[in-house]
Amino acid sequence: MGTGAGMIVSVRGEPRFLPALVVHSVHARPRLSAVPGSPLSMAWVAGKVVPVARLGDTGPHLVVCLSAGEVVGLWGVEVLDTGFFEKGEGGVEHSGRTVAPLDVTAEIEKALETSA
Amino acid sequence: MKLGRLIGGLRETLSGERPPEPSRGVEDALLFRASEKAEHSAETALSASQAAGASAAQQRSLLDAAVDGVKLLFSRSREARTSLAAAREALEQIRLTALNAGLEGARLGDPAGKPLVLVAEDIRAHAARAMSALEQHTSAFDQMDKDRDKLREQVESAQARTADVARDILQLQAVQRDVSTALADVSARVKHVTRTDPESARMVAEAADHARALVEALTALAARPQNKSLFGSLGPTLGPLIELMREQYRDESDDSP
Repeated sequence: MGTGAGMIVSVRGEPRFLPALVVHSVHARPRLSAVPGSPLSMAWVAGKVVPVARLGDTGPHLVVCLSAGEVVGLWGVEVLDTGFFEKGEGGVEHSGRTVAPLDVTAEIEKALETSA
Repeated sequence: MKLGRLIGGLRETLSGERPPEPSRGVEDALLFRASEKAEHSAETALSASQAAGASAAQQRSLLDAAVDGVKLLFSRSREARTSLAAAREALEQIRLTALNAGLEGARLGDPAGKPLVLVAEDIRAHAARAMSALEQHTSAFDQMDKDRDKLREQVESAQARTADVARDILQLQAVQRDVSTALADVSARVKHVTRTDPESARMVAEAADHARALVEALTALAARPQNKSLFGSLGPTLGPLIELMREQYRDESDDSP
């Protein structure tokens, strides 16, 4: 089946797979600033302002991704593992279970709906 | 004349008889000796309480030092917690770096990025162990904080009790000083009232003690069978005593009008 390169993140307590080509970097959870008129927030990450979507409240990390050609931060997630993972039915294998990929675009839309 | 009166008192003790107007010779001497003993005991008690006061003061300063030591422990603990927090922050950063390195390795693909992924995993495993050790340190510090709080309470309680003891000892010393003064006054008045020469009084009291012991021993001897022969054996010892008593009797008779 081959391997999938990327990372396993925990989103709202559930593990999800993020392909390496989608992820830019991982950071400690920064302070967020509200963006007036927008459900998104913004954060100062590695010398740049990054729009941030809240996916959870407890995760210690911010994962900076590329979604539809835009840089966006996923806030409130926890990175569990990085590297190569065996591909399986509907995702990759991690710690004896199949982990489904995280649909970043869908998550951002969901975050926008929740905030609205 | 005075010696005669004193020996007369001795004779009363030996005979166990009480004359219609008892001579105060022996009783005065015993009273004098008792008041002297009381005065001496009061002085001894005062000295002991002064020593106890000094010990309490020393204990108080030791407890003050213990309180300072506990405060020092507080500040050391704060410093240690600051270092622990810095170490935790550094480990978090190492873990993040390892995650990013693993991500970079994954991006490079297999096999080019495999070594980087493995090294990143290794670093994360070490960081996780170090973090676990830090958690144990933090738990130990939490327990030490609780123990230290308890210790501070106990030391402060001991400090308060020592202060109470020191105050009680001061009150005791004041009372003992009063007792010593009162007993010195009693001794002086006893001396004045009885007109007793201290040295003679001591000798009379001592002689009275011996006389009482002699009477008790002779009474016990008299109760034994064949007591006459036993008494006879004491003749050479008791003879001079009896002779002395007789002479004193004679002297007193000569002196009396």
